[in-house]
Amino acid sequence: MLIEVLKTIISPVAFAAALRLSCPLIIGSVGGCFNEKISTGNLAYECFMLVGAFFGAYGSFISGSPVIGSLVAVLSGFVLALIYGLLVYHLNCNAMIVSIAYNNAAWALTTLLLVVIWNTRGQFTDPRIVSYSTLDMDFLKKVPFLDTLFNNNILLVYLAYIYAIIGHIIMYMTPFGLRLRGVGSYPMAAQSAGISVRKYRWIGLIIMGCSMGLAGSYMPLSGMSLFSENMTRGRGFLCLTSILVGKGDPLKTTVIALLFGYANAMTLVLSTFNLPTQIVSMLPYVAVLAVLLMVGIRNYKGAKNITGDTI
Amino acid sequence: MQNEEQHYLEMRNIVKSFGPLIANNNITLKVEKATVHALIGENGAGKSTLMNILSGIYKPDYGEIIIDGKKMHFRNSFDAAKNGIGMVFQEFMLFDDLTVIENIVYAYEKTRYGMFIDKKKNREKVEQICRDYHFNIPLDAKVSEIPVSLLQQVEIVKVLYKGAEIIILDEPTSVLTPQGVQGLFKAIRFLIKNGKTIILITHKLKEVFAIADEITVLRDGKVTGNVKPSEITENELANMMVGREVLLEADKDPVEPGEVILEVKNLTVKDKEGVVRVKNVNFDVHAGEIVGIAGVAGSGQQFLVEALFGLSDAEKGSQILFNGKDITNGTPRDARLMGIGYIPQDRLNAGGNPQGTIWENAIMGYHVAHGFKSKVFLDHKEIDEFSDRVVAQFNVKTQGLNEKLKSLSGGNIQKLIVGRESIQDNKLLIIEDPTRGIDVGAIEFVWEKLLAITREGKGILLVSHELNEVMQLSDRIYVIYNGVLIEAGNYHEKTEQEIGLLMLGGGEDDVWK
Repeated sequence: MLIEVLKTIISPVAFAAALRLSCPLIIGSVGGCFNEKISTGNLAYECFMLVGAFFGAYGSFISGSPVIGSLVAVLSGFVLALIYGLLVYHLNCNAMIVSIAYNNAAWALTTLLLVVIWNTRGQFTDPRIVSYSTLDMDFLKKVPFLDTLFNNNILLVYLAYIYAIIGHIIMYMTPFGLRLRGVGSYPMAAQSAGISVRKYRWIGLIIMGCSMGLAGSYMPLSGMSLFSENMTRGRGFLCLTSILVGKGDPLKTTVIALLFGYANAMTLVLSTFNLPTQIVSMLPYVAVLAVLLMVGIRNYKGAKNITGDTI
Repeated sequence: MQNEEQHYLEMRNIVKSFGPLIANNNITLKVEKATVHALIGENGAGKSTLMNILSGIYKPDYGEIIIDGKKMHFRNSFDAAKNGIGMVFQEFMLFDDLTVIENIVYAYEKTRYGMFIDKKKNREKVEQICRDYHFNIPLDAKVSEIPVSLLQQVEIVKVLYKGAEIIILDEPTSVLTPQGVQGLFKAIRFLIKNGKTIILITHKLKEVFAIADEITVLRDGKVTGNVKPSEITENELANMMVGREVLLEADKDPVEPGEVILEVKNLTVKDKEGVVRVKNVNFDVHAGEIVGIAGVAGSGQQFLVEALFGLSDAEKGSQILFNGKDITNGTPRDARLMGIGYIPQDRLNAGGNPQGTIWENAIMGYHVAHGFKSKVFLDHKEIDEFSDRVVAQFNVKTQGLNEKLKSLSGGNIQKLIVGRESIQDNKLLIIEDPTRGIDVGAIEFVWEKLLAITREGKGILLVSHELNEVMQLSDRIYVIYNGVLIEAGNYHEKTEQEIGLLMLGGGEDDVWK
């Protein structure tokens, strides 16, 4: 039994599932890196993702096209970012409070919309929510291992990895990225260099909002064609954790997101065994704690230093 | 008016007010090209406001700026930089997380294909500037990893990179050693020779005489003097700044040291990365004396103090004895209970609570230790009585005990904190940079109080970056260099140059030639 389990968790199928399930985490957290680097305390990742998931489903439902669905999801993230920025940047609301309100309101809002639009509770399944179809690449078919790993995924999955690379290039190779990092590191200095801190904060926030919306649209449109209450189930927070552990570096963040995706895949592949489901579904969260513990041990520098570096 | 000779830079009749406060009241400043123009005055005299106007950060309410005969209207600091104004702030405007070269080119990057940073071109230009002006800085190091004196050079290279013709230096010497200052002055003279114009903001009269070609003195937002250094004495200049006699020498009597109160043996402290910051340090403090530790910022003094007060751990084999009792690796609370007072360098955030009221700050750290509390609740009668005493004895200018700490000026905050620690029944005070960034009047006041405290038989360990302060106040002087403590004689035994040399770890003789 143990050997069977071990075989399964290192099987190509498991890794393929990990690559697939990491997709929303990567898209969301790479965009979130730009929010993290400007350090304005926006923690409302769960909200952006859940609302994105709803509008992804809704957009696809009314248009019959998953691409339109994703665009509507991006738009919803954009609007949420606008409201957030208005509250925090212009009306000086506390970022932490707004974030908590956002995260809590998201569940209520999407459930309300579920009732109002589709007149149902819990879950809405309908063939009119058109999912992305998988891309079948012939040239991969002949390579046994790579075929399982990379073939037959939806567009968004491939996009996620391209997105990570583009994110890295923008962050570290363009003037825009340099300025953005500076704004987060020491706003006063950026200001003295003639940079509009507020502009960069807005841009970082909007990149994050749109990316999280897009990431959210993966969930209803990846094949299941349904929307359910609290569909994201903490994936937004997984994005946030990836970003914090990866220190806002898009590539490092992607690696952490992959790790979470792998833990997520475990819950799927291990469900075929007769293991208690509660324990199996704990895996992604245990993975979070394990990663934090490892990072904590690596950075441990004696007990007497009080660092406020928790967020 | 118009026929008067044209200066390179003229700021005419500048007025700027913030609410009821008039920071600049009709100030006129004229600067010749390729000279060093010193702008001096106490804290709050309006120097920084005036320079912020010149560098485009503030807009003046009234008045005009003329450069090379052309009237300027700076919309923002970008605009001012484009017109050749570069400012090096006292608090460095550098990004800790970025590398030196990223800091230098920030917001002025050269690009490839219009979108990517052209790292090669940037580097060539920065290296060219470093060669031309003899700066030697590690371009790829992170800013958080390099020493303060280099940070200043980074700032100067930064403004040169942006094409500055007029460079404003805001108190550039506040963290440098005498040798560092010499190095800076050498660089300034070099810049002048190359046609750059320098405006030097400073508190320090000696520097003015050493380097300035012309001096403008500000007091309370007005110009009180415009002179050449050759035409005036230090005392006259000081009088223009404050309007009364200021003696920058402490009134110190020789003391008879009493018994040993603090004894430090073989103290070694490592930092978070495991680097040894304090190496095998031995010294003691007697009752009634001031022991001064001078040193360049970052030489380990901060770790030394933190270990003494229980804020960081000492390594095995270290021993700290207070009145004969071992307090190695104790807690700050133990230290306070036993009668050790501590005045940290960062008075606003480590020494007090900026959001708290005056009375809260006046009892901070002693709210339990010294009985401001009767069983459960705070005893407000006693608190008010004590706070009033601090405010009165230490001449803290405040609207009342319920005023917030952050609304006080730096000098008054420092007086409050020195008062809090010294009125308590402490036997030993550990003090870091007691007069950093406060005005001449307040410095004098704090110095006098510190001397008065020792006359009561208390011991003081004074750790300061200001060499003059250590020399003026200390009975015995040590220098800390790279974590090692070096004896530097008794009061007035060694000269400023000799001690400054020790602060650099020996140094060569030709430094002073």
